[in-house]
Amino acid sequence: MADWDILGKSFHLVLQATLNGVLQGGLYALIALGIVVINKASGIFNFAHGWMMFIGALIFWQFYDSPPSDTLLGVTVGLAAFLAVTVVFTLGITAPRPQADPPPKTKNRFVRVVHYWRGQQLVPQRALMFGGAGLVVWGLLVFLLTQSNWLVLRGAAAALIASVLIGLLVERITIRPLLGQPVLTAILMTLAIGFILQGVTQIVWGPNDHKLDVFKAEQPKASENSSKPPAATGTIVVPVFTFETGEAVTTETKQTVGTGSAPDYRLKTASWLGNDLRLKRFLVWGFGIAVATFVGFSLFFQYTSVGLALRATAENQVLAESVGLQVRLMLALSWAMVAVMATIAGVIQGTGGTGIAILVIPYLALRVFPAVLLGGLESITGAMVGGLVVGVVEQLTVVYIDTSAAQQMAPFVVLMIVLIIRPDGLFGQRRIDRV
Amino acid sequence: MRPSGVYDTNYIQAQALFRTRVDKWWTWIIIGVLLLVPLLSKEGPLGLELVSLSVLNIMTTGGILLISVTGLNLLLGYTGQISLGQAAFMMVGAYTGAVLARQTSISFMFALPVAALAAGVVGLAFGLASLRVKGFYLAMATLAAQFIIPWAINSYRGDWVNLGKGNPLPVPKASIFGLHISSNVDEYYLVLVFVFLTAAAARNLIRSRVGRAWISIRDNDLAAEQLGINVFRYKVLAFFVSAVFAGIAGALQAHVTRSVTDTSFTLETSIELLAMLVIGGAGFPLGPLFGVMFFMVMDRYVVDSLNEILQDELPKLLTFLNPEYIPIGLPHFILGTLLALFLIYEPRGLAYRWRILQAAWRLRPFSKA
Repeated sequence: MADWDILGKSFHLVLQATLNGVLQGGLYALIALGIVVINKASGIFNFAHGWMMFIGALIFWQFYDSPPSDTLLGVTVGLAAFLAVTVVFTLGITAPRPQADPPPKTKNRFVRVVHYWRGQQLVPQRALMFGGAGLVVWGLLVFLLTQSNWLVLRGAAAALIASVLIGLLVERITIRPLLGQPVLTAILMTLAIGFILQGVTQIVWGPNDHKLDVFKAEQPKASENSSKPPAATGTIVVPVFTFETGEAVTTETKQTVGTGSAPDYRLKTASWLGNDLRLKRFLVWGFGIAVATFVGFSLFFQYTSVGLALRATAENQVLAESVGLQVRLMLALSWAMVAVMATIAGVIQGTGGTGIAILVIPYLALRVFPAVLLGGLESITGAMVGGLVVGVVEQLTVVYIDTSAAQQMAPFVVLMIVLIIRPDGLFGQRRIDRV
Repeated sequence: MRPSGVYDTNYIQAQALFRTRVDKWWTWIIIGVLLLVPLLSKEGPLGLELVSLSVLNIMTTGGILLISVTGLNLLLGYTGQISLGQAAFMMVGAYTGAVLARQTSISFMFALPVAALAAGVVGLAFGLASLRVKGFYLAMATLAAQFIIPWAINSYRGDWVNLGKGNPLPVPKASIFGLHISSNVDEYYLVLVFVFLTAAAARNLIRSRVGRAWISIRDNDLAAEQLGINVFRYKVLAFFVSAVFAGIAGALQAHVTRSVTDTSFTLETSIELLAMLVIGGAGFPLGPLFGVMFFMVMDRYVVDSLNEILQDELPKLLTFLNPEYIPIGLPHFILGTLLALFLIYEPRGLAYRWRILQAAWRLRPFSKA
């Protein structure tokens, strides 16, 4: 099998590219899921998704890679407290008093808010329960943000808070005023959000790329102090997939370790392919995290009551409102969730070789739009399939043409083909226009 | 909005170029002022320096943008089809014009229509997607144009198109009937002529059968089909005309700046053109003019002065900011914020606001606006 050729490229190369494509496709599926959820919930196509990924990854980097300054830490701890308080009050620790005053006739919002809170009384049991939960959450977040032993957890906590806040802010400030406006306005609004986020990231973090070395090589401490050349030989335990038995076994292999990122995983296929298959470490981990997140959110939508409410809201906002669901809360929730998904995807891509680059991450989301269309705008399964297909197509283009073609042309050729042959995608609903 | 009492009672009135005398006067006054502006500059016959050359250059750049945004207005404002690929079509025009000027001895007067047609044909090809899709889907198809066209130009290995990574393609000076376009004033007049031509073309298209068909497609495409309008044909025509305008703008830009690079026709440029149109007012004849004027004043004057203030003051307030980064991100931030504000508070743009002002002026002293 080692000398098989597929259209002039060796079988090994093609298989390698397909594997890379599948791994990259898992990440694309996560991004596509975010776009699909927003489209289902708010009915708009989010062109700012890439910038939400970018700013999330940068916040992760800020808390992971550099010692956070006091200002940033203070701001974030404050925001965490704000978040906890918001959670407490949204869950409702108060109930209306039995004898409430008649509502004021004024339109003054301040007077109305004061009147609302005067008409509420504290429910001690709920206050204890939710207040306790809020305090625990707040304490946990503050602990995670101030410790310096588990940097990944610190970055993740900060990025989680920040992305939830970004999602809520974007929804409240820019999307909600547009309810009932035409489609074009919504598209332009997401483009405007993209511009704003781009401006903010460049003002705060500058135009340079940032390296996010989560998958650093485990170096012996001694080699840093001594004057050894940077390439040291160490023993690393990597899971190696052997083809004969078909199961993963952990063996110790000797590999040359550079100072940079950790070595690729290798599949021992030299005996029948002529060369080992290499899997980039960040892609493998990223695929795992992306698929776990994807499956987690899918199960959440399918099997929880909040997920059911979200799906109902996506289906028909008027009907959802009439059965007592809080549609605006649901919309805010879906934007917050999508911001979290975007951040996870951004961080995963940021751990790759190109780092958190302004020319890579925001445009990644644009390359995922073909995947979304291929799968169908309303379908979560479609997001997964579309992501995998676009990932594989892209990597095969790298093999057969070149990298710039893969990035700029291949996904969009897929897009044009889908638009012309089957505009509703593989799993999408057929759109029927009513006059 | 017209003054009260001016009604169209026949088709000639409904299709008139100028419906009221005031319209006509204003148009001639604006044309006259635009023609006279360079005479007051340093390179004019009087040597007055009342208008600095930088202002003249800004007006030239604005004129080029105006042509492109006018094309976009026909597509988005009148036909209701969104395009995220206007900059890519400008790129086609710019590269066609540049290659014709460098490699052949075709005069500028013939090269420009060829460039415009080339852009138009490419635009038509991507507009074909509008046969089956609309809304978001169409935005995606034009987004594909914005990626595929620059890739095709950049990956072509031939030194008559592509001088390698990052090297701009130099363009020789244009000459029209033996007259060399060399000074800033010449460039200004060259662009001005095409601004007038395209504005007149757009106005005439809108008040004719084609424009009425476009407007009916924008308002309700299914109903338009019931009226007997060939929806697909008129949609594709709108894409073609819009891309032709973009091609003219691109070719002019190539000749005015004397060089072509791919970095000046990115997705950001497309979005900026869209932002100009929306801020100015999509679907209004004056919309592109207001939008481009607003954008140029913002981009060249307001952002610069804001930069200086913020570079001094903002790091004092937020100590973690690096003042060097502020000028990089500020233009995007301001443009995005303005676009968002306009979409929320005045989605019909400055041109609509201008009409309200006109009505208020007519009703003075009883108006409330």
